[in-house]
Amino acid sequence: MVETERLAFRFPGEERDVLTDITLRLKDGRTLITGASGSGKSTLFALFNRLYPDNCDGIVTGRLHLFGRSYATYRPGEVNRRVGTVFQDPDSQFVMQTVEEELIFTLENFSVARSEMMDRVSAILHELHLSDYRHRTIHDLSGGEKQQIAVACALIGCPEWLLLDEPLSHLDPATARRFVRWLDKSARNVNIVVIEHRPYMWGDFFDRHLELVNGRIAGDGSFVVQPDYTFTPIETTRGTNILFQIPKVNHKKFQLAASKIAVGPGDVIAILGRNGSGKSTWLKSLARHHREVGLVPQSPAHLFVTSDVSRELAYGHNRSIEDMLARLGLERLRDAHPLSLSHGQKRRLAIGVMLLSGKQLLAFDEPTAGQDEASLRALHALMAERVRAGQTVLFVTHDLSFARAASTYYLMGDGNLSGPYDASIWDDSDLLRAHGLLTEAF
Amino acid sequence: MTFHEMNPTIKFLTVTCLMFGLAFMYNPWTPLVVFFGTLVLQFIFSDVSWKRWGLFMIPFLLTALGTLWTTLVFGREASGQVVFSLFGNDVTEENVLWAATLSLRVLAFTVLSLLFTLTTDPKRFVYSLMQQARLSPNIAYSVFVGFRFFPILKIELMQLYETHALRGVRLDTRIDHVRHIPKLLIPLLAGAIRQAERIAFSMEARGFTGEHRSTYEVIPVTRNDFLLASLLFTLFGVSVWIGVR
Repeated sequence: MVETERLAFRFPGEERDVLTDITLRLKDGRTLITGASGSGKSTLFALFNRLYPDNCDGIVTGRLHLFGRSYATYRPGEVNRRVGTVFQDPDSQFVMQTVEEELIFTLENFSVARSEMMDRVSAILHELHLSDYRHRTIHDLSGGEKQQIAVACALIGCPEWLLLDEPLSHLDPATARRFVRWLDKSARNVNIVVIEHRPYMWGDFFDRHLELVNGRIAGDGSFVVQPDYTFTPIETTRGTNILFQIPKVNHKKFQLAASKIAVGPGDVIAILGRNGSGKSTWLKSLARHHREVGLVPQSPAHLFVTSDVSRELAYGHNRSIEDMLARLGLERLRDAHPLSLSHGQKRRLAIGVMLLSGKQLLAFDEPTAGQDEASLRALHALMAERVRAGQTVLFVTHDLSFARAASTYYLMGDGNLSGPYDASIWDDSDLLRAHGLLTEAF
Repeated sequence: MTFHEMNPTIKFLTVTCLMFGLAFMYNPWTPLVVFFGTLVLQFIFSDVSWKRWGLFMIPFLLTALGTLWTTLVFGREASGQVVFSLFGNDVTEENVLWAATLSLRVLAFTVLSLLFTLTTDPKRFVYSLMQQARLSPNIAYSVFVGFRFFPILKIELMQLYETHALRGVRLDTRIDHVRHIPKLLIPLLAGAIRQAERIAFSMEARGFTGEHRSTYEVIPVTRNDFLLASLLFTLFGVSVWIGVR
């Protein structure tokens, strides 16, 4: 499908190439592309489905052929009939309200005759075992269901290739695994290319593995199943316990039972549960009812209320911020706008903000979603550093590999918190499976 | 034959024409006839929930009463027979007629707008604009994305309020919330722009280019559309005749 020779790509106004010296031939089958954040994976994808260079005025050098023709000879939208794409964020890839309308949207774009449309909608939904979703409102679906619908919307145009850009990053392990199994079974007649940070979720789905490092191809060969990254438990020194009580929360859709957790300084606690089990609601409730809890939301940018780093740190108190700037390695960025920082820097700033306002317990909401290995290692180091300094770290996650960093566990299922458990929880597979968390390898 | 089924573009044009025409009528009888005539037509040719209609009507009714009151009390000096006196101001016959005209005009505009909004599905309206009024699909589908966008934006706004409250921003009262809005605009906009770009990419990846599309949802133009339109125009004609007679 794609043939490139010495392909390089640069965004306008930038000095460095995002992609350099890419020579590759995509063959039929299932290909995995891995690489750290910023290694050019998504840019490469956008060249495959021809969203780039047109939409960013990027500069392409070298040869780039799609289906045997130079990319420049295609009209906008022409390649997209043969290449379907599913993006990472389940919430920003739909246009219409219901599943049926969304499928029809694709057919209309491809100028399919009106009389054929209903038959094709029925056929694709039947083929993908999604017929029950036909009249559902997309907004009400779960993340996993949305990704399935996104695949259906891509496949209804009968593409020869299907590109998936980190489709699992917002899904919990059980949902992700169900999605992979479903895709494996349903998408038999289409070639697949997937970008993924954590390929272990896919089992032996792939034939070929391409690795990108800094915009260059660093590895290209047949796919070998690899285990996920491993994280060591952070060493903890527990002091006397403080008891936190979290009252009952009544939501429109579900109820969160009253709960309590015992927390000692220097502790690392993980709250595990599947998507929609109430973890995040519980965490917000904890932060709202206890002043010593500092919440770091999944997108730390939500916390920021001022327009530069130093004012952000100084907000709401009179303590000196110099020491904190140095400790978090943010001295050079004191005048930068908080929203212009990288994800890791935003997280550091958020922690600094929490510490300066006297929060002793740092609570992270899903800190690992969509993060690459380097970023996960940095998070692990940061948590270890905070624990050594005497703070307590608590995080909510469905990332079982990263959860190993904790020493105390709680499980959340349908609004009920159970625990504490220690590391022996990993041997209790029935308990984990009941909470939508699977531990066995593929 | 109902206003719900009526072609939205034709309905929109008809209602707009009537409102435009009403603006040139300087007597109380025309808007009065249009007001009751529209209600009768709405009663016969639609099944609008009258409770909803009534709720929507409340603010406009207050506006109409306000108009009536201010024009009576603060109306300019006018000749003619003094009907009664209000707070020491003499209210003449002309004052009364003028006040009635203005407030009835507000009411007539309102019933016409409500006839349109309460019987029109926004999605059908956009489809119809695309098919009958040659609205570009680029604009039409931006509107559709917008329909989906607002709930997402609302959730984002709630999240921002929540996290900012945790940072110690005072958000106890409604006024605190309003006062805090400027601080939320930049993060909210930054998020919205990122989302919009993602949706645009996703649309293009699904083959949307804004041209050469087929349509599934065909909004037809039928004889009934013209019948309903001419009913409304007849009503207006009659009201004008009664008014100038």
